[in-house]
Amino acid sequence: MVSRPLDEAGLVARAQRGDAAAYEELVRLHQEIAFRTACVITRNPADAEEAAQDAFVKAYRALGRFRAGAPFRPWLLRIVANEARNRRRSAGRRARLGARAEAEVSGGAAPSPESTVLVEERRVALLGALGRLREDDRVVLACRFLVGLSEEETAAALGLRRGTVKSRTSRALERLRTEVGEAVAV
Amino acid sequence: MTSLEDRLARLSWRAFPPTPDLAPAVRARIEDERPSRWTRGRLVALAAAVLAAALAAALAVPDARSTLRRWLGLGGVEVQLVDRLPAVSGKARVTLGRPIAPALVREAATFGLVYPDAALGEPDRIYIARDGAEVSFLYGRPDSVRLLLTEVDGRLEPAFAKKLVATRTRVEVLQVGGEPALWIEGAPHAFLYLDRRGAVVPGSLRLARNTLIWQRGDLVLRLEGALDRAKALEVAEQLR
Repeated sequence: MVSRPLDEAGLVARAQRGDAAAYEELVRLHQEIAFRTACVITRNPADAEEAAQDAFVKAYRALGRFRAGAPFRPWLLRIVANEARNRRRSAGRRARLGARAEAEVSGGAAPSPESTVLVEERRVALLGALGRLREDDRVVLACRFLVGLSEEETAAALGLRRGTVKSRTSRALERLRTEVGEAVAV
Repeated sequence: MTSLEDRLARLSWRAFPPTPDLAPAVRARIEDERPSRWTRGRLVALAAAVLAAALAAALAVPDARSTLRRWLGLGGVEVQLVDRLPAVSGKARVTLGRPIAPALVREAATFGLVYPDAALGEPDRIYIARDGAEVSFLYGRPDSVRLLLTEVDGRLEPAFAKKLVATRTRVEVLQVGGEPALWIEGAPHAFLYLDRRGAVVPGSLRLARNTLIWQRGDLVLRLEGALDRAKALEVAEQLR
């Protein structure tokens, strides 16, 4: 039997009526994008997991206010990003900047131990360069290209206008290009 | 030569640890709940039936149920009819949050705020509160407020603000740009914040004047001060 594409609006409607199984399905559909978006913001997988889980619970409770027919993902991502930011605020005080910034996840991934080839080193260099960008730039690039969010979704998650996402993205790409160039030259 | 964007996109698999399966834990936490338009426990144990009847009568709107829902759910502002307002000291210091410079407020807010200069002129003071989820633009002086425009991220925290409306105050359901709005006019009404446990936040109780509350997508805006309904609606339309 050919599986039909899951009807997201249908799942949302069922979940709004209190169908926990339908909501569980929605969680499965979106958990990767939610977790990764949270990772970008918290830069720590444990915090990101907590943030994503709490966000899904909060989103369920708030589902009554979700407008039928609206895209679910931007709505969800906004809640996820808020949870992640709240966690980073408290975590940020304990771990500040420094060498850790490059070694943490998302836009500054830990170099993998088996990175033996040049290609891998260049990859690490690119993620390292991303991790050294200023926060605004790093987050917008990571959301757009590492997580693969659309401009609209990025705007929702970061609480920005779409135009701001667009301009910030091109500015950040320019800076990343400079950063990578310099890193390679060293 | 591939673009930087493409190179980043191809790195996505190694930029993140494997995604944990969140579904079982989430399911366990929500199992016995139903989604709600407001957070549980936030509604004070006021007889809902009485309130519904009172609102329906006051508004003479055919569908009392939907009216009530919108009332209570409108952007985290809960309106209740009460016989008597709580005592409010006229000198009470009201906390709007921490002052912030105009140039920084957009970045500090968690939502896409509407800067009101086009409709109202440059604000005299700007405050940010609730971890960036609430921004207030003040016109006048803190001790003598002419106008106060508050913008709140309406998605996350429902029913944290409460308005207590006594019988001498009129409340109308209006629309601004096709979305529900409330106009509260007449005798001053009480405005207060509730914390997560439903207790009144100290220093938050104050008397409010004419107030328009409306939604703009997920943003909730509240304009209060010395202005009439026509002026408030005009400002609201300009701020869209």
